[in-house]
Amino acid sequence: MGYVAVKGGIEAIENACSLFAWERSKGSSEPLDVAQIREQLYLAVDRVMGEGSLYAPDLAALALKQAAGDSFEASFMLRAYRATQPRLGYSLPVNTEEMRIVRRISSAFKDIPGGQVLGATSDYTLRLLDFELLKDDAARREAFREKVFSNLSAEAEIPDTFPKVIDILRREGLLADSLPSGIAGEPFDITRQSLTFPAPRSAALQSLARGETGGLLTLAYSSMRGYGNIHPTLGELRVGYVPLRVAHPVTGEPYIAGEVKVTEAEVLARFEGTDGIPRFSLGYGLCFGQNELKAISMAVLDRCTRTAKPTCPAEDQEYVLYHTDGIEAMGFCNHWKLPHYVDFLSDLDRLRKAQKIARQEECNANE
Amino acid sequence: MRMSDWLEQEDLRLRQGESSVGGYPYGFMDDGAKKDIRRSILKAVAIPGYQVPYGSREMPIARGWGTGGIQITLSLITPDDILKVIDQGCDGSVNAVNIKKFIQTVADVEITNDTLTATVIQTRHRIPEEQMTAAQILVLQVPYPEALREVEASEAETRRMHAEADYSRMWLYLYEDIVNYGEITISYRYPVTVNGRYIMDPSPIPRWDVPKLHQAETLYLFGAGREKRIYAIPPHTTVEPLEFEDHTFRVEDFSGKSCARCGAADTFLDEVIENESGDRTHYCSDSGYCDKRFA
Amino acid sequence: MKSAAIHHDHATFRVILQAMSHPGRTFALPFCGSPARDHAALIMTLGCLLDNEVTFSIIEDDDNRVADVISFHTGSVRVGISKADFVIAARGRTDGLLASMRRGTLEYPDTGATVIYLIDDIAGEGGRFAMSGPGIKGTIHPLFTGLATTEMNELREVNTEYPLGVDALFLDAHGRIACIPRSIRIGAN
Repeated sequence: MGYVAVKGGIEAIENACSLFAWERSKGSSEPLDVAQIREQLYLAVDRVMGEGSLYAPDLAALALKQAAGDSFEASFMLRAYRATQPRLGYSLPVNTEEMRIVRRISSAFKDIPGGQVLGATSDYTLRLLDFELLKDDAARREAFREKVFSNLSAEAEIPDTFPKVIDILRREGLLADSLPSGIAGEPFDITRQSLTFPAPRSAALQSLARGETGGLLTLAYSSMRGYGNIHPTLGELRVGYVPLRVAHPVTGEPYIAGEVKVTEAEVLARFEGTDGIPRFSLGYGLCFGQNELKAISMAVLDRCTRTAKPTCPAEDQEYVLYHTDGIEAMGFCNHWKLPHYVDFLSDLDRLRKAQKIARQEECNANE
Repeated sequence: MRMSDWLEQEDLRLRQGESSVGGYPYGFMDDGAKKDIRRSILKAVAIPGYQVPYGSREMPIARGWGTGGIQITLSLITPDDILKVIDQGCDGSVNAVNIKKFIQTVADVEITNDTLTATVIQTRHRIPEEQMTAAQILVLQVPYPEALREVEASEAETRRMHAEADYSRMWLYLYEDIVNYGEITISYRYPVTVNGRYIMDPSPIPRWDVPKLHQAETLYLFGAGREKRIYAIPPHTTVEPLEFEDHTFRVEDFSGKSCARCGAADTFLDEVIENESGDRTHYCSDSGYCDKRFA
Repeated sequence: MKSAAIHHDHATFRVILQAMSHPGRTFALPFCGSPARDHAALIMTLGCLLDNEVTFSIIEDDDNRVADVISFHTGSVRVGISKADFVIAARGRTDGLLASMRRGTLEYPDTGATVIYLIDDIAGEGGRFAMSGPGIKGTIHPLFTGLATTEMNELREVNTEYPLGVDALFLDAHGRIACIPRSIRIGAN
């Protein structure tokens, strides 16, 4: 009788859980340290923090270890943990101009005030397997570090802040004014209220920021490729650390509670004119950690879903926001593994009846 | 982490005299979450069949695996309750076992397989065969809260249809079904009209269970965690399956069949394929009831 | 009973839910003391429902005494009557203000307000108004002593455009509760 109602079913479930942990532990390699994951698989950690909607590098690394590298499962664990934590308040809005930049590029101009800062990226690497890494060890690492430091030229002055490319365009009247957040005061929080449509901008951006990278990419790509009419230019892409300020509960004075690493993308797309003068419109993307694919996809989808008359899935706000949450999608997809035999029997009952009626009609027609 | 390890660890903490479970409050969720769900439940009862949106929380069990039902149960359960959890009618199903162990641990309740002993029953896809009372609550896990989703994909549009009680497309769908197949082919999740106002999805219960919703003694609460909706049917409420005068609603046909274990001929029967030549045997879907009859 | 202090709000909510599911019937709230402590039923009721995500309003509250207690216990913010999620009629009457409370929208009727009447006594059958609808088997005539005479007519009036409407809770001095949700038809007297 399968996986339902059999005696010993509970024991079988426990064993299945143990086997899962066993698979990870059965090999001869050293156990993975959480710090190793956090430092050496940092892009995976960043992705899990973004999709899990909780900035906690150690917990994200732990989740990745526990989930044997499955980013969906790891994000899910982080979210479930997040759901049990009280919400103490909202941080104050962050001005990303203050970002401590580690990477910053614009594809709209050859050079930009403050300069293009390439930072750490795999963009320009040759995607050839580096067999040297097969024998990665402390000595090799030390040699690599020495090489990097010995080639450094004289220290260059790094400005504290970098001007925003889009601000320059906006000052010249080439770009539409920034959009109101949709509501005054506290933002719409989708973890407290369920989404309603049309969704306020703060709710839409929050949904996208928690979205699953692959899902966002798929929909954004569909629009870039042809199912839609948004052809983005990357005004600016920034990766870096921003300070998080919280209003003091008693004095109301802002104080810095810490800083988080984020990726921010601003895309320029199709011009339109609400007041008769055509201007570029802006799509905005921001997510935890370094996840450029996600930030750009989010910015494209932000712009797409503000299209007045949607003509394709990526422009339909409800379609995009409902289908890009990886944790919801994953849970529902997996739930089809649960028994459905009562439903199926009900289906069989209807099919048999429909067949009987069809055969009867055939019979009558032949007579 | 293994469920049992976690439960053992929590059990130890409780026995050491901690009032909460591993840093989690009674009922697992924080106070704010429970209050939000309670307010939504009260509105759902006040407007039978209407889907109340709420801020569904992530549970340590996956979306789509009964998180809506779990959140409702955890928001109203007390240590004096006796809980029964079933999946497809069965107390021993993988999902039911997981859910009841979780709730038992975080809410300190007794567990039963007996429908008549339970004070709260959480279920997926079935309503127990034995008649429930006014003192009991049935919590149903819901995958698709929107009955109109079959005919309209957009939430904004189905909400408008409910607002205006504009159900013509649903009726047309049923009519076309009859034209194509000579019968209404909806098997489970059979749409019903509640209190003469809202068309409602009764969750994927078989048609067999739909009549139990009408003028019942018991409160029915429906929780859709992934879709973030709560709705309800209070006791003594009119619940009518959609039907036409010449094509009336019919439950599954088990004529001539009975349970191979307890002999019941008046229950919803599971069909089991016995061998490769396709011979079928039937058993009660409600395992608690079957056990009681068989004992 | 295993119930300890941390379970109070769970047990209280269960009784409120029973009352909302069986309109017009009387239920005793737990932990209100006997005789009930001053405003115990109100504080227990709001304690399991209100937090800083919702708002409340009070009609007739001398010196803001009750409002201060509610804010302190729940974190809920006091607002004007037409904006409030919960409105407390501290003396069993709304002075014609029922009509200005939120009734929700056709898309979201759940945004209609909940009004809570503090009255002397929920005395069971014997009232003038016949009530029927979901949760009621047949017809009942609940008797609410200490409720202003015009309130039932006004409640019927604000709930004529179902599903828009206001849901009413009644709490008495003995720690008892009864409910009249908007789905209930209130017959003429």
